[in-house]
Amino acid sequence: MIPASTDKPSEEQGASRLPGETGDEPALIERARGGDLDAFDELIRRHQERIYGTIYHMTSNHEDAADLAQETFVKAWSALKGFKGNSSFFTWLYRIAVNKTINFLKSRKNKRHMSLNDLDAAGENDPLLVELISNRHPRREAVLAELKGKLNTALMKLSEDHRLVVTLHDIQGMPHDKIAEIMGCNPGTVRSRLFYARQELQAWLSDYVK
Amino acid sequence: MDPAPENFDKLQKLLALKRHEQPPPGFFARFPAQVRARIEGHQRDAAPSWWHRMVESLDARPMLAGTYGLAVGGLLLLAVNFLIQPEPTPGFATQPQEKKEPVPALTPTNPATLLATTNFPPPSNGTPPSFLVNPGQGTQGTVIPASLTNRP
Repeated sequence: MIPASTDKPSEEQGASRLPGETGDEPALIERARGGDLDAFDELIRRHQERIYGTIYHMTSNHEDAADLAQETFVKAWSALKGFKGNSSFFTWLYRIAVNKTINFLKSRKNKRHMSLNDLDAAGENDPLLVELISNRHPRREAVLAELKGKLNTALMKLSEDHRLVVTLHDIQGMPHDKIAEIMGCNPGTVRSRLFYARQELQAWLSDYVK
Repeated sequence: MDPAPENFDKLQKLLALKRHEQPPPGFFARFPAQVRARIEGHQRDAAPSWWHRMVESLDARPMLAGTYGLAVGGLLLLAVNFLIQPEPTPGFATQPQEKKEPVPALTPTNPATLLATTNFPPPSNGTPPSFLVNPGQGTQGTVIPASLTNRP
């Protein structure tokens, strides 16, 4: 389960370890570089949820996300010898995932929209969602389904770069500087993209967020 | 410069709900094994060929790579040199030479011998006609200059 994070991740978070990063990770990486698949299994367990989550929110499809997440780890395994440790393993892994996902999205002709039927029970009962819907709509279920659809359609309308910053920051709770590192740009660019992406989303979802 | 602050609180709350979206139950429990199976499958399929092994070994030893490059370059030069040689090396001839018809040598030293090869009648005194040895004399031995007045 993706750990909950604050709505506005602070830059200070960037200095601390991201979820999944622990003190023994360098030793695991070293063992994996030497061909130890058990060590690599452990690295997969630590990072799979966030990697899968990012790809899932970018592609809007579980099967594509599962496949791309697998490809990400296979590529990481084969490229592990080239990992110099200049960035954290997590950032390096994220770059592989993001590149694979963006290439996939560029090659995909017909965009499919995700089915949000797999929103879990905790999500449906989330106080934020309850607050957003129940105050003004008696037909809660219907409105919930409509909101899910609107939200995802709006996300899929964003450009890939804008969707990526929204996914990493507003959904995954990642700080600006980490996102900048992953995307290969400066934190100011990340903030700017995030601002314009939110503006677009707010306009498309005006019935719900104003 | 940061963009102007704007209130995105509700939007952020809405987006944060997407964290609850989860893959089917058991997905993350199976995932590492699936990746591992894929890695092992790739390793089986991609057993290194002799070429890859050679490239890897050369990659680690630049001196060896240089020597190899020089050797290949030398062989190429030898091959080009061999191909552009004008005459075949006797020891390397692979096809029998075609037998050519002998061409008769044209070495007439005597004008009479040369005349004998033509249809001209042989001279009575054994000497060639004067027009052959004195061009411009004609058969009569006189030169008639071209003139309009000589017209009949």
